[in-house]
Amino acid sequence: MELANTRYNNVLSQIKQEKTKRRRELLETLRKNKWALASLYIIIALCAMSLVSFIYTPYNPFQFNLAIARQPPSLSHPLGTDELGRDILSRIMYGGRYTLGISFISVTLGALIGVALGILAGYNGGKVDTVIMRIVDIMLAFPTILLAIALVAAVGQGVKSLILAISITTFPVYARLVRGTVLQIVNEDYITAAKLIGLSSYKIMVKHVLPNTMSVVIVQMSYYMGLSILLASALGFLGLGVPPPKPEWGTMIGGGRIYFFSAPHIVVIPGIFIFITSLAFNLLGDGLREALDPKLRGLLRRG
Amino acid sequence: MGSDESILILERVKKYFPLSLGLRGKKLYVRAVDDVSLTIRKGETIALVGESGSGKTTLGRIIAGLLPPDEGRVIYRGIDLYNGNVLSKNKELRFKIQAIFQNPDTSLNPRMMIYDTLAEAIRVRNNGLTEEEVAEKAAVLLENVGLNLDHLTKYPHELSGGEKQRVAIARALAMNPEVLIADEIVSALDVSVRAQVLNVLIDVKDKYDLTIVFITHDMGLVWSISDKIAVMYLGRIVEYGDTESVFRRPLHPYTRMLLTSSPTASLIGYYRNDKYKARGEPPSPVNPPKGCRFNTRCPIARDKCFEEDPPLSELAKNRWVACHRALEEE
Amino acid sequence: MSIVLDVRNLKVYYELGNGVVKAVDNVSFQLYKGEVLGIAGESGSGKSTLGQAIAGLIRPPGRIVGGQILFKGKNLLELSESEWRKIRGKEISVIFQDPNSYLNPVYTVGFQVAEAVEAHNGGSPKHYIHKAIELLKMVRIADAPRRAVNYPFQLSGGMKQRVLTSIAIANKPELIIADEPTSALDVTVQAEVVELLLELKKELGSSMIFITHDLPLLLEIADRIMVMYAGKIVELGSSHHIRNNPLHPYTRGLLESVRYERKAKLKSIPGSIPSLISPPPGCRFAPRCPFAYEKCRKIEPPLKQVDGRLVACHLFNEGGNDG
Repeated sequence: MELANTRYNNVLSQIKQEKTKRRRELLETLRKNKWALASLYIIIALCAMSLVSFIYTPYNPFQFNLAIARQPPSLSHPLGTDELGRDILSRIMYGGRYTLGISFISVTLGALIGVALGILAGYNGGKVDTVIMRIVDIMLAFPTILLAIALVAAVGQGVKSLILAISITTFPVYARLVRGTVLQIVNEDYITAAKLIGLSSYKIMVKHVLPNTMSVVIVQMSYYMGLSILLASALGFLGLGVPPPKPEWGTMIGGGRIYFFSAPHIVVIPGIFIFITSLAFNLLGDGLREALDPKLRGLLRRG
Repeated sequence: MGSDESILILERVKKYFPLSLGLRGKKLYVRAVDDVSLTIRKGETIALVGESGSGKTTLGRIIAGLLPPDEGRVIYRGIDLYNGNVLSKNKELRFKIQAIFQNPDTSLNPRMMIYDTLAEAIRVRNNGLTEEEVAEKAAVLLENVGLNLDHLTKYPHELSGGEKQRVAIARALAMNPEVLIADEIVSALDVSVRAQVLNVLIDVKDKYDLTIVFITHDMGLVWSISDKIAVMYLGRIVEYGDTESVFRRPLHPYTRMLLTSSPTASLIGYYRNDKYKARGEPPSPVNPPKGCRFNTRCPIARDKCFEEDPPLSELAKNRWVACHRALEEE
Repeated sequence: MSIVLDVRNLKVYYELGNGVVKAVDNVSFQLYKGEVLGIAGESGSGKSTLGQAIAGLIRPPGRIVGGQILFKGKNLLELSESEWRKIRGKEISVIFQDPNSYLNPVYTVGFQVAEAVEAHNGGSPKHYIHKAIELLKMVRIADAPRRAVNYPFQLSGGMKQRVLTSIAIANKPELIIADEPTSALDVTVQAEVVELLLELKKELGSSMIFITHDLPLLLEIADRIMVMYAGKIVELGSSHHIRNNPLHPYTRGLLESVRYERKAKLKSIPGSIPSLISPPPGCRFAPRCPFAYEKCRKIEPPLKQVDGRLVACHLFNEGGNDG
């Protein structure tokens, strides 16, 4: 026994070392993916910008001055001014908290609910599956705009109802997607093996099923990160979103739309921010998917 | 090998799967396992042999505690494995019967390091082990299946098919089982690596004092590894006996046909009879033929075979055969 | 005996992102009229790639980078795709492993057989429905006229493989390439399909290349057997020679691992197939070979005539009986 102990006593430290190495490899994979890395920096910069707005903006984002309305970018107003003469840079900085916050929270919320329901339905099958999927079908058939109107009526206009509207319209998509993946996973032998060693259903779902749905979930989340910004903007445009004068990026576009030809920058600049954010999340999502999948990670390492 | 101590007893086990495309009012069933009784003795390796649709895999899953039978009992050391429709809550019982499957690519969670896969099983089996003890146990298990410590920190995709199957064996051994069901565990592997996995199975059988249910379609493997053989056809056991005596003198015409048409069996060279050259295909298990189920392909079927279903009966010492004419015509 | 197919120094490479896979590397052999040549090998041996190359079915990233395939004296590698279409299915036809992916689920099998006839005779498939039924009878499908109007899903696996066979023989090909045609079938069904293939081959006077991982099966049905390992031919000789006196250590290992003995440790070949992107220098089997010595790890052994067959191994001297 003594002998055996000396033989194996550094096994654990070796395993731990290797695990740290693997974790570093994960970051390495992400770092090697130039697009993902650039996207990560952009997202960090955008978040930092929104946070800075709590203590500093070049101008007061709500202060209007019709004398300097619709001015193109200049030294004093680097991104120009809007239809009421407010500084667009300050408004973009201030509005980031709404736009980024809304999309982040609503996507996370939608994903959490959707993934949980999808796994429950796919893993358990039978009646649970039927009930969950019928609810999902009904939700999918419900028009987003109508739902948003109903929510606004119930909760009142504002950030909360916007987040709810987006999460409620997106979670059924995750649920359906995840359920499909889970239906494949439950037939794999490692799930059977997990049952055989006596793991509880809960543990099997969390430890064996959930991690293997991550690739599809991450792709869907990064796609919805962009889409939810557009959805928030569309609702804002219809007057169902963040009410003016709060400078949510979509609301900004809505406000400037009638000056599209005379002062395009009012619309184009928030548009560019929405575009960049949505693109960055998509590219980062792709990178994450690669880094989190041991198999893809291996391919990249060899390549 | 094998003792007289029976460890697993199947009593008239039935499993029918409903087909969704039944005609109006008339429900159709796939009769996957249809009235199977079998006694498995401690320490023996019993081969369940049959072709697709024979029910061998379904029977394996029933024995493994993965699929409750519709009728009949599965008794492990005097205890019912199922309480009616549900698996017995007895955890200890559950640990004692483990299984390994065919496809090496899905046998391990692709997102878990080999160590974590083994550690999970070890922790479930042994409460309150320190991390060092878990690691040591994992290392020992891996060495017992002929892998080394480097494999602990690999992911499944970094292993070959044969190595993955050996890890699957190690995971099963972590539960300290008494019965191991091996369902076509080498069919997906190249022949030159099959032996590596099978030799591991033979090694651990002795080391862990296992009883093995070896499910396969390959008569060559049956010959090399098993003490007993149970030949299945359309949900039934049609012949059961000592492997050696069945290979030397198969009694059921279907066993004769299997041995005659299997290239690996003809390399062994014990039995070949051109009268039993393969003909026809197995009928659907939804609608098995009246009388003996093999009568559509049997070269020696006569009147009675088309009317009466032959029971599995002891035609010679320790030789159980379900055939009316096995002894009349060879 | 006349030579139907003469493959010379054939190289088929796959250009992948992480390197070039030398799937078939400098392979030469001849196929004689009327013979069944078995190609045996494990996954990664290049046997299927070789079959596809002969049938003109190599697709990118695969590429034929060198050599010749002479079919009745004409180099197939110089043919255009339209010239190929005249040969494939008529003079050379192929039977694959998975009948499901080669039969179209939305057409009746009779129509699909008729279509194969039409492809090389012109007209419309409708004109050939009687011919199709005749072909289905040839592959011993009972009640052929009724079966002809069945869709693939209504047939069993063995039956579908017969339908594919009838498509393959529809135009009386001179060369049939069968790539694992029975590996998805049960042994009793396999036995019957194989027997049918051999009978049809005889009736039509064709030659056949039978590709499989199942060496015991080849020992029963092939006239000659070519054993491939990691893109190379390691041994090529009559079934009799391979069965009773295999020379190459790989052939021996392969045969020993399927020649099961009662209750004995099974014999295996240690290690696994090498990467075909950077194969080991010298003999590709050397890292797994129990007899390998210095020379094996440095110099690639050429195929040489030993004891009535070809062997690529340094252990043997040209023409000699043993080394």
